[in-house]
Order: sequence, then C-alpha cells, then structure tokens
Amino acid sequence: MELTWGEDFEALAQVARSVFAKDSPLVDREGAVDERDRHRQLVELGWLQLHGAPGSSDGAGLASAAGVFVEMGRALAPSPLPALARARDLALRIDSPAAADLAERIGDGEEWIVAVPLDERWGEAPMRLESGRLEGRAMAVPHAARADVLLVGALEGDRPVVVRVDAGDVEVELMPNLGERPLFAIRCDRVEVRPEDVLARGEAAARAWAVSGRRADVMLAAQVYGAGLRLLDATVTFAGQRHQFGGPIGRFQAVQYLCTDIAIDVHLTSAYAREAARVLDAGGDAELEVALLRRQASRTAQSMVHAAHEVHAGLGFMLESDVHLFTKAAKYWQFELHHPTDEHTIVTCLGAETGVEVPRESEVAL
Amino acid sequence: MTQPKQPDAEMLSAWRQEVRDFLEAELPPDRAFNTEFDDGPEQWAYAVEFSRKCAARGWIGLTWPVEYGGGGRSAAENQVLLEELYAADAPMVNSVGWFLAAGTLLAGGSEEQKRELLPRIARMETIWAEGLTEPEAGSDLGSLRTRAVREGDEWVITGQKAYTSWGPMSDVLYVAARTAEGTRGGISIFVVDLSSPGVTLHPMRNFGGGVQSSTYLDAVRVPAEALIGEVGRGWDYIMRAFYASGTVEPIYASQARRLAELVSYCRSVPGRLEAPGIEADLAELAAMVHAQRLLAREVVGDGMAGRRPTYDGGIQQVLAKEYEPLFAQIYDRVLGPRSQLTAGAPDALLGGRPEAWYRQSFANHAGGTPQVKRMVLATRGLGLPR
Ligand SMILES: Cc1cc2nc3c(=O)[nH]c(=O)nc-3n(C[C@H](O)[C@H](O)[C@H](O)COP(=O)(O)OP(=O)(O)OC[C@H]3O[C@@H](n4cnc5c(N)ncnc54)[C@H](O)[C@@H]3O)c2cc1C
Repeated sequence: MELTWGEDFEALAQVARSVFAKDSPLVDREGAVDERDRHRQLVELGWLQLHGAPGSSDGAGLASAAGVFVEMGRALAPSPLPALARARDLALRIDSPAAADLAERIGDGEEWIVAVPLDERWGEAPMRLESGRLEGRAMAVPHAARADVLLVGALEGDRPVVVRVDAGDVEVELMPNLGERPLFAIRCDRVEVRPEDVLARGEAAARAWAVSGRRADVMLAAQVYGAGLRLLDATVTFAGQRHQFGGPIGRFQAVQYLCTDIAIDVHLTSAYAREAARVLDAGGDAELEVALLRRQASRTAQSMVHAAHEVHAGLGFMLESDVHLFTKAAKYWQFELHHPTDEHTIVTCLGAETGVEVPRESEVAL
Repeated sequence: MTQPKQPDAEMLSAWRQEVRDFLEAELPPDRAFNTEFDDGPEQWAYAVEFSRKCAARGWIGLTWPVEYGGGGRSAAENQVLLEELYAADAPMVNSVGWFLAAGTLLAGGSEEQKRELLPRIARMETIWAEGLTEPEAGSDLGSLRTRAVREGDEWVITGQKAYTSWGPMSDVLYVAARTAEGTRGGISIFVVDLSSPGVTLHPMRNFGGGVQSSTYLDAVRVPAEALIGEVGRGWDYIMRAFYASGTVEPIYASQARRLAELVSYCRSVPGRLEAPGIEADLAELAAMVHAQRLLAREVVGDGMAGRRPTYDGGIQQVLAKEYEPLFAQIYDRVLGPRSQLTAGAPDALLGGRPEAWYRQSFANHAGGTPQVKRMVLATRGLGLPR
C-alpha cells in the first residue's frame, strides 16, 4: 500500500531544478531567455518525448515525468513544455500514420505544434467543420503565435474531430492576462481542410481529447504542487523571521493556521496527483481521480496565494516581494483546472473502489 | 458645540439624491478610479480638482463643527455621502487628512490648531500623508522607534516610516514619534512639512498598480507648534481616530456596485445563472455586502446615540478586512476564466476591471490586518487574555 511518485521522479526533478533555476521570474524578473532557446533546450534534454502512450517504450510515465513539472512550478518557469507535450500526447493517442508523424516532429523539435481543445469554458461556442471548411474561434491557446501547426478540436455535426491546421491559415490574437502568459485567441475563417488533415473522428477523437486532456491536467497540477512547495517555504521562512510584539509572527496561531492551510492544500494536491498519475500510467481512464485532483488543485491555486498574502501582509502587496509572482501564475492554474462538471463526475463515480459504497435505493432507510 | 440635527429617513434619501446628482454631473464614468492605486500624475491632478469641488460644497468635514470649517451635520449624513462616493469610485483624495489627521485634531488638538489646520483640510488646501508604520513596527505600532527630541523651540525628528501612501503628492506627513518609552504615554503626533530638509521618499510599486514610499526622516526640524495636542497622548489620539469615529469606510458600497454589474453580466449570458454554483456564489457576495451595510448602520447609529458598541474592537472591522480579498475571489469565480484578462484585452469582461480589483484586493492589510483585527475583537470585545 503506497502512494508515491514514479521511479525516475527524483532523478528528473534534480535535472529540472538546475534547468529551471536560471529561467525563473523568481530569479530574473525580466525573463531574458528567448522562447526559441527554451525550445532548443527541451529538445536537447529529450523532454519533448518525456511521457508517451501507455505501453509504448518511449517516455517515463506520468508519475515520473511529473518531476520535471513539479520543478517547473517551483520555479514558476514559463516553459512551453506543457503546451508541446499536450499536443504530442494528443497525437500519440490517435491511431494514424499522419498523427504518429506529427508526434515525432514535436518530439524531435522539428515543428512547434499546439493543441486547441474543444473547450467552452472561455465562453466561445465550439469550432465547426462543415463541407471541408473550419469555422470559429477558440480562446486561451498557449504559444499559438509561435506555432507552425495547430491540432484543433471541432464539431462535425455533433461528432468531435481532431483537425490539423497550418498556423499560417488562422488569425492569432494575443490575450493580455494577469499572469502575463502567452495566451492567444485564434480565429478560423472558413479555413480549408483537406480530408487527410482530419486526423480523428467521433469516439476515437473524443477519447484522444479526453485522455490527453486528463494527462495534461495531472502535469498542470504537478506545477501547482511545485509552486505551492516554494510558496509554503517562503511563507514559513517569513513567519519565522518577521518579528512583531517581541517575537516571530509564526508563534501566533492565526499565522500558524495560515501556514498550515497552505501545507494541507499543497500536500493534498500532491496526493491526488500521485494517485491520478498512477492510474493513468496503468492505462486506466482516471475520470474520477482526475476530477478529484482538478477540484483540489484549482482550490489550492487560490487558497495558497490567499494565505501567503495574509501572512506577508503589507510586504506581500509590494512588487519587491515575490508573493505576487505566485498570485499571477496561480490565477491561470485555478481556472485551467476548474471544470464545472467535475463535481457531478465525482458524485456519479462514487462506488466501492472510491471507499464510498453507496447502497442501492431499495436498501436505504429514509 | 451644538449637537447636529438628527436626520429622518426622508432627509437622508433627499441628501443621497443630492450627492448622486452631483456625481452624475461632475464625474465622467471613465474618470472614476481608486485613488489608492491609480495615482499617475494626470489622474492625481484630476482627483485633486474633483476633491476640491466636493470641498467647495462643504462635504469634507461634513460632521465637524462649523467653527473649524466643518458642516455641523450628522454622522448619518456623512455615511450616506461616503457610500455614494464609494459607489461611484469617486476620485477623492486626502483621506488621511480627512479622517486620521482631523480625528486626531478633534480629539486632542489645541484650539489654535483646530482653527488653523482643520479648515485647510476642509478646503483641500493641505494634503496629508500617514507616517505610522515603520519597517519593524507594523501590527505592533506601539513599538515604533522614530524619535522626536525637543531642542529649544523646535522638535528634531529622526526615523524611518514604511508604506507611506501618496507621499510624493502630499504636503505634510502625520508622524507618530517616540517622545518617551512605552506605548501609552510614549508616543506623540507631529505634522511635518514634506518639503523640510532631511525628508526623503523612496517610492516602491505595489501589486495594485500604485505606489507606497519608504520615508526617511533625518534630523528633521519642526517648530514647537508641529506637536499636535499634548506630548505623550499620541496613542490615544490614533486609537480614537481609528476606532471611535462613528464612521465606517464603506467599501461595501463599491462592492455593491460591482455586484450589480456582475449580476447584469450573468443575466446577459444565456444559461450563466443556471450554471453549477453560480447562484450560491452570487448570494454569498450579496450577503457580504448586506452584512457590512447593516453593521455600518449599527456603528454609525451607536456613535450618534453615544451607545457603547456590542463588541469593542468591532466585528464590522474584522469583516471588512476579511471580505475584501474573498469578495474579489468569489467574484472572479462567477465571471470565470476571462476575469484574468487585463483592461484592453479583446475578450476582457467588464472592461478588464475585475483583473485590477483582484490584485487590489490584497491591499486589505492597509490600516491593520484581519488577524490583528480579530485579536483586538477577542481581547477588547470578548475579554479574552492577551
Ligand atoms: C496598500 C497599503 C497602504 C498602506 N499605507 C500606509 C500609510 O500610508 N501609512 C502607514 O503608516 N502605513 C501604511 N500601510 C501599512 C499598514 O498599516 C501595515 O501593512 C499593517 O499595519 C500591517 O503591518 P505589516 O505589513 O508590517 O504586517 P505585520 O505586522 O508584519 O504582520 C505580518 C503577519 O503577522 C500577523 N500578526 C502580527 N501580529 C499579530 C498578532 N498579535 N496576532 C496574530 N497575528 C499577528 C499579521 O496578521 C500578518 O499576518 C499600508 C499598507 C498597505 C498594504
């Protein structure tokens, strides 16, 4: 009975720590590193092939690959790795030579490819594929301005599809945001789609989107966990060093509760992430595990910065303090991990395997 | 001093309308802003001009006695005025002069000081900054170390103040300085001209988009009259200005307006109100506003009637501090992911203002942290041991 990260987690984390140490707004506020250099480095490190399809020889598995993402979060590193890994993961989950080729090109660093999932949470209706033309708009696509190719989620009638689109064929518009992330709105204005560019349809497409999305969310939660560890450390250190009323503020229970709030939420995020990674690595679909994880990680992203601001008080509001850097990063995570349907999923999935055995209606004495 | 006439409900609503009419006529919507954060030179100049218009109507110091430049009106009318100003995000500046300095002068200033300094605040002729906090004295204000030493006809003040808001734009600094050991009896209040030799300001930017300064006082000489009230009474003056004023900063009025915008937005998007959790969140926000409004009415009423509050230290103050960030967090949850888009972003909602409100909500520690407000409530209000 164990709940651990993967075998290679530590080794990967160690390398990642040194890679991201230099590319962190916590160290360099101006962010002098160029995105292309970051990409080159990811290729050299082989991290674009870090976690592959279940059963395939490539990749370390999510539970180990998480080591990189935890460290990325700890450094608040603005790496394009999550976006590229997400697209590759999607391509790997589509059973076609064209998709396999795309996955390989991402892994080798030959092409910069990002995924544009079917996601209505930003308030846009899904894109539509009709008579060989793609029409519609999608929001919050990371790194779209750099991309050569987009893997776009759309509806053809009521069936989901995965469509390969040349980035040059779509309009890309920056969406300035609190976290200063490279998020873009993309618009497809009756973009012509060749039959061979529809990579998957129907059930196969839905499954590829769902599984790659869940896997991406585990890696996102791993970043929240890493950032949370760093923020917890900074907050506990501050509470030990800042003196008021003749001693460290950390001796006040009001402050201790705030620090332990961060510790509890951050640790729960890690526990749920380890479990979700384990199930996904074993080939399970992890619908329940990922729903529980996302719900927790989204809450953690908000609660940890709230508590850190409370402890740091006036100083935390000043830009000279690092706290606001976490606040900026966490806002995106909070929403990216929030799926309004997760709570429904959790309740629906309750059963013996979750430890909550729900008696059949006829057995309940009301 | 004659007691102000207590207004009835009809008078108050006519007064509210008068303020609203003025704001509608004088405040273009794009000029409304939060003076605490958005203090670029052009905005500041506009805010000063706007505040002077309010001053010309006698609205600053509405409750002060007429002989000191005030309006002799009731605390209830003042609360209505403040509610309307907050609801409109009116760019009123000089709140330190208006509340802390005036509260101190009324509590302990000499007759001469009251006649000299209060009318200048009421006419918006002197802008005050607040020099209470120090690098080592935040919540524990009583441990402040800035010293004032008497030399002949002058006081010589040396020390460092932290987080001075509006420093570079102000004329004078309200300085709490040590004139003897101890909290009670050891602290005195001075008014220091910010252009005096020995005063230096080091501005630093905050997360909300504004500036606070570190203020260095290096053997700054001020005349004997710069001491406000009596030597060693500073702590009492500060506490009276902060806790016993019968006025409540109506952040809830500004929250009420934001909530109205949010509900309108939700109604305009089909299905939004029915989405999971949305009504529960909206109700939570509404309850936050409502609770604060009720408690404000209670505090102002108690103040006017000379009643002792139910709990010294004020539940209202605790809630105001705790709700400020929570309000912004729940607000964003209702708006969804687009709440993180900044002003000017193509798909930003409500002009991108929620993104700024969220950042600014972490300034809730100005004037005392929620934890310390709870500590005061627990010890003073509930009698728990310190
Ligand atoms: C936007 C802004 C504007 C400001 N403007 C001014 C200004 O113009 N002039 C001015 O003088 N000051 C100003 N301040 C300073 C403000 O008054 C202080 O930030 C505030 O008093 C808290 O002090 P601190 O920041 O040093 O926090 P600290 O006192 O260091 O508190 C750190 C943490 O310890 C906790 N803590 C401390 N003591 C206790 C206790 N006894 N029990 C439980 N918990 C405790 C706090 O709650 C907090 O969580 C401003 C602050 C802000 C944020």
